[in-house]
Amino acid sequence: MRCLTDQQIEALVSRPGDPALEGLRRHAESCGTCREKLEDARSDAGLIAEIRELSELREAVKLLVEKMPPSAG
Amino acid sequence: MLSRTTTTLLEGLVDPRNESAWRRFYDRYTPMLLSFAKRVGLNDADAQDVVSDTLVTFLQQYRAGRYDRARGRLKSWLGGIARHKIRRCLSKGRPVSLNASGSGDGPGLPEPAAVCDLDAAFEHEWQLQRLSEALEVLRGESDPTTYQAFDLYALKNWPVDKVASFLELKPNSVYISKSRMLKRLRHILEWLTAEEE
Repeated sequence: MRCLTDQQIEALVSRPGDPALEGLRRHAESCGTCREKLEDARSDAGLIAEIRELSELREAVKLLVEKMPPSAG
Repeated sequence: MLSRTTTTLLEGLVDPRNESAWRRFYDRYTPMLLSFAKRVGLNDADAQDVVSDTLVTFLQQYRAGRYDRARGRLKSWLGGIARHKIRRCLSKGRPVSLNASGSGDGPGLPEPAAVCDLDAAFEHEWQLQRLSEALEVLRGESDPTTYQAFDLYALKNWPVDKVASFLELKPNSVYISKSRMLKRLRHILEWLTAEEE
């Protein structure tokens, strides 16, 4: 089997329990290059989740920030 | 890079006439501190009061020469003030004493449940703040199309074909943009973390 494409790697990360991807998963486990790419992609997914959390938190306090009385410097 | 900006910002705070330095400091840390205050259970009004009080106290102490960057990180100093203000707010009506470092409670005071998580909550908020600053650096230094491809695909979750079509790129370029941006973001985060130490 040829090395996995970026799209296939992303599918493995976003649909970890999908039985339809079992063949791809087995390949990633046995191929050093693909295994490394998969680990990187999982790590990327964690960072993206943090960025989304940051986005949500900043959005949640946006109104509060706007309503803050001005503090004198 | 950004740490240099932080240094400039802090230097600017010394001068009471430098309103733009105060505004930038306020804009940078207010959302993070508000998020922290809300995370540990303060209502909106108390969170706003605590944050204003924290920033003003920091400024007063900074101008009085009590913050020495060589002896402690901004995180520790600002976090210490914020945690103290929050403890005091959560303990309204109860006496609060400080230990020698100015950041702890006296013995025997029953703690509200949320207070136990103050350190961890602040650490988490600070990490997100660092991420926010790293994203700001990344956006500033990146090719706009590459950053937009990353933003739409990775952060806004647009399908790759839609991003490619919208930005007139090949789908593979969208994947590459995401990968490059995340790699660079990691480097910036590492750099910012090292600068804080």
